[in-house]
Amino acid sequence: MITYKNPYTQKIYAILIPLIGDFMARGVIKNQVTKLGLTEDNIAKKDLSALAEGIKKGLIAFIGSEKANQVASKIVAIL
Amino acid sequence: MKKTTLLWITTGILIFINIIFYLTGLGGEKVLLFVSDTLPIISSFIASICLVVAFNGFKEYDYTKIAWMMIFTGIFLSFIAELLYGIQEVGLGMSMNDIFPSIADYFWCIGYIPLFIGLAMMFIGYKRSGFPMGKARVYVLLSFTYLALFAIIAYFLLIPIINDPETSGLPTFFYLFYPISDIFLVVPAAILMYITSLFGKGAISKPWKLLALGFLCFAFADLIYSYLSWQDKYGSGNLIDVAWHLGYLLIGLAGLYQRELVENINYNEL
Repeated sequence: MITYKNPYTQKIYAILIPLIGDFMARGVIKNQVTKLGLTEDNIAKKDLSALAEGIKKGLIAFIGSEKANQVASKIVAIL
Repeated sequence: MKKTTLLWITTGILIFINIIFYLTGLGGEKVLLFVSDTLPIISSFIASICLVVAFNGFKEYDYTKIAWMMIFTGIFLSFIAELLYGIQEVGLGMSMNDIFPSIADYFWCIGYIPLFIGLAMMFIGYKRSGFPMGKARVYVLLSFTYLALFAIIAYFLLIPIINDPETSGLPTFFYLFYPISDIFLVVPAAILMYITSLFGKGAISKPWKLLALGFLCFAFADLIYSYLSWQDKYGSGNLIDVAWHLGYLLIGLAGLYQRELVENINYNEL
């Protein structure tokens, strides 16, 4: 388990952990932020939809579009 | 009781019955033949039902649903094959070695196509997702292991079958088809197995883990079957049958866990 300094990263991590486990949650976050030219520490609210979209694409393989959309919505809704 | 728990118990009971009959020969050869032909029908039927349950859990027609439908199609064709095999051997009293390849073999062979497509769709979908693929050195190691396995199978099984003057035409094709198809099926199954290992205890990976294990059981049993069958040493009631039955039931469990996973993901609970 890891604690991120950035509250958005921490919340995304908390959403993903029950689904994909600790190692993969960290890997997915790192992959997605790198793709957007960000780091785990500087995610801002405006980046959430792009991050959610990337995570959704990965989740579709496992849980289908409908449920992946739900997870993405939850990420976008982080305040 | 959860459906998955019930199927784990059923799997344990069926495999236990399987092993007891094979090891003790309880009831003589006729009973062993009946058990040997009935258990795969039951196991593949259970797996088919569970796979229907799995793909019905997906509301949208995306590649994930289609991949599970493909796996269902492949397993259902295997169920038809098992049924035909049982009817021919137990019902009509045919000697399966004499009529090889039987009509059941055609169904098994066709079944490989959707199975391979289903697994490939899962793998390609995952690869495109941008999720972590794991360490490159593991893929190098997997490739070397695969090449070594292929060389061993080719040397001890494929080349001798091709060079066997007593076997030709259709039987040769089918003797070669099973191990070659399994070699191809093992690749996506092994990769899925590795990918799922990256997820640790994440709930999402359980169906893929069981699916990959099921296909590895099939590959193991098919390779030994091809060798024994070619040597005319395979008879009903062989212990390797357990690997097929277990393979079907693990794939069935994968289907049930997939449905459970999809149902448990609730926006409000996340």
